[in-house]
Amino acid sequence: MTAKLLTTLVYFAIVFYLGYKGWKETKGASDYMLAGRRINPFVMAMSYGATFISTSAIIGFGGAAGLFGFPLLWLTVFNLFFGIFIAMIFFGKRTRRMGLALNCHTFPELLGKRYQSKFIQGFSGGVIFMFIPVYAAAVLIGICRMVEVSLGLPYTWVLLGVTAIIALYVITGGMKAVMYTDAFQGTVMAVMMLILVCYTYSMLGGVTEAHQTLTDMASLMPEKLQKGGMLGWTQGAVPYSPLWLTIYTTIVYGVGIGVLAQPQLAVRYMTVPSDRELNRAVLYGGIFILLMTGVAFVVGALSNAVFMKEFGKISIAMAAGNIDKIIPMFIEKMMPSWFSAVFLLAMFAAAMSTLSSQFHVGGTSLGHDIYARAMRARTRVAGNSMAVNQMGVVITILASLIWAWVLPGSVIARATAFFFGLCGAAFLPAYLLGLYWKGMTKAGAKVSMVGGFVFSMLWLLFIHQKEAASIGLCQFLFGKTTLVADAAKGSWLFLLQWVDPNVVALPFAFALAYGVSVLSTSLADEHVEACWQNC
Amino acid sequence: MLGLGSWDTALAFWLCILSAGLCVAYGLIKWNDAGTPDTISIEDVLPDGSETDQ
Repeated sequence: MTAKLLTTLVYFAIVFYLGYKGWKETKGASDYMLAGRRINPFVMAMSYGATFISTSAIIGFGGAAGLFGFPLLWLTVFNLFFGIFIAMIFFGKRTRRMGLALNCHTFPELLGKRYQSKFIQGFSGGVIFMFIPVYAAAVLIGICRMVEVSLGLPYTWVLLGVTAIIALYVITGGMKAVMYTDAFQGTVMAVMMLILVCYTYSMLGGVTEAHQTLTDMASLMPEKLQKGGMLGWTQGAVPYSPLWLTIYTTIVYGVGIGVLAQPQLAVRYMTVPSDRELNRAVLYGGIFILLMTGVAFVVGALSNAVFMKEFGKISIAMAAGNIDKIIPMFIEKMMPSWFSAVFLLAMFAAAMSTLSSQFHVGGTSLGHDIYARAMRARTRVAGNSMAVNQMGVVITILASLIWAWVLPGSVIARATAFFFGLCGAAFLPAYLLGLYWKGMTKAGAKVSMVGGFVFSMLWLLFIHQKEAASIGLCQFLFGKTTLVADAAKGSWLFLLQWVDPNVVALPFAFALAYGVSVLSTSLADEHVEACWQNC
Repeated sequence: MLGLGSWDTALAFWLCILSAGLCVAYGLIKWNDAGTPDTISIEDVLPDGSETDQ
């Protein structure tokens, strides 16, 4: 316990020093929102990666890998190929250049200025501000569960303490403090995950031996999961079964593609001075993501073999049915005590780096994209924009705290998938086509954003079983859990209940964007040329 | 297959490593490539508030 407390103190001392450094270097709104556009590639890549990967990815999705096994590695493939390679090269470079040409400070502002639309900026800011607290709450729950298991502290205390610490440096230090602390935290995470995977494989006698042990355990897969379509932790699931649909449409596709339109990640492209930093960030990001989600999913899956060997139980039984406790339990029971002390810090790092960015993007959405824009429209006075952003951050933090209190157990991976999916449907068509298609119109962008958002929400409320059942609106209005609940069992209509909203909402939003743009008035040529002047 | 129970999980395992390798190779090849220089400097960006619609 003393070792844990000491390492925690050293870690927080470094975080506070970096937060202080960020605060000292922050002179105005541009520094607060974009770190002065002068961040170096290592800091940018580590900040991008550490924001991308949170306790949600490690504790939540790692726990999901404890349940579903190796098929989750497809998400790592998507994270690497779409989340790093495609994101940095095709989205990052164009976003940086267009963001500079249009003098944008936030993701909603980029969309708003690209389409000359206050509605688009306000709508995107509103969606981010409304829903990022749900995602932030999922991350908060992840770290608080970890501390609860590791230090034995009450959940509520941890929740308040962690939030207060992050709030302090995000509110005062802005983007510079966020990115400096992210880079340090990302480095801690990478080292710990490398040790974790080596140790886990060595406990099971090597790579092939470890996989083989888990392969041979297929018959121990819980009966409920077998009925849902699971064959084993390394065998995957029966194609088109409910669990196959959950793994591949919600976890792999929803999160894997949704990352391309994440506002807290997109804004980081605008913090670097040239394309060279983004090229270098591809290298750092590729290694980092492999060490993060790749390791978390492999260890999550293999925890079943380790627990079975040591305790005669599979992971979900060890965690008393709560998948969010599988990774914390594995670290606590199976790893050396010095490791669990430092790993706790790595998880603090993962959570804090993501939370700080979530609070920051939620706050600037409210302060810069909604409030300051509305004030400018009415009085032509923006007021003290840094103070307005800081107030936005405070409100985002409070909203996240409330969500963290009310969300149920085993919710981390699902809440993350929800936010990623929602961003994909609402923003991706307008964002991608706005970057690459001069013919994209303001009307096309508006209709695709609202259409994608509404379609996604309706699917969640009336079709997707997990959310529809827990929200209960469909039950209240129509007397059944989902609109397709009474379709013939096993039919494609029945199986829609496990299909992620994005599978349908994203193509729908792309079709709206294209169709409406073809039929509506183009933006002025001079404006389009101004957008492309630096591309 | 490295002891994995199906070809698709084995494929995912190898693709993770190959994708990370692709990122590293790209980063190394383009390490000093800054692309075409920016046509505007950071100090020279467009003035704020040029939107027109409601």
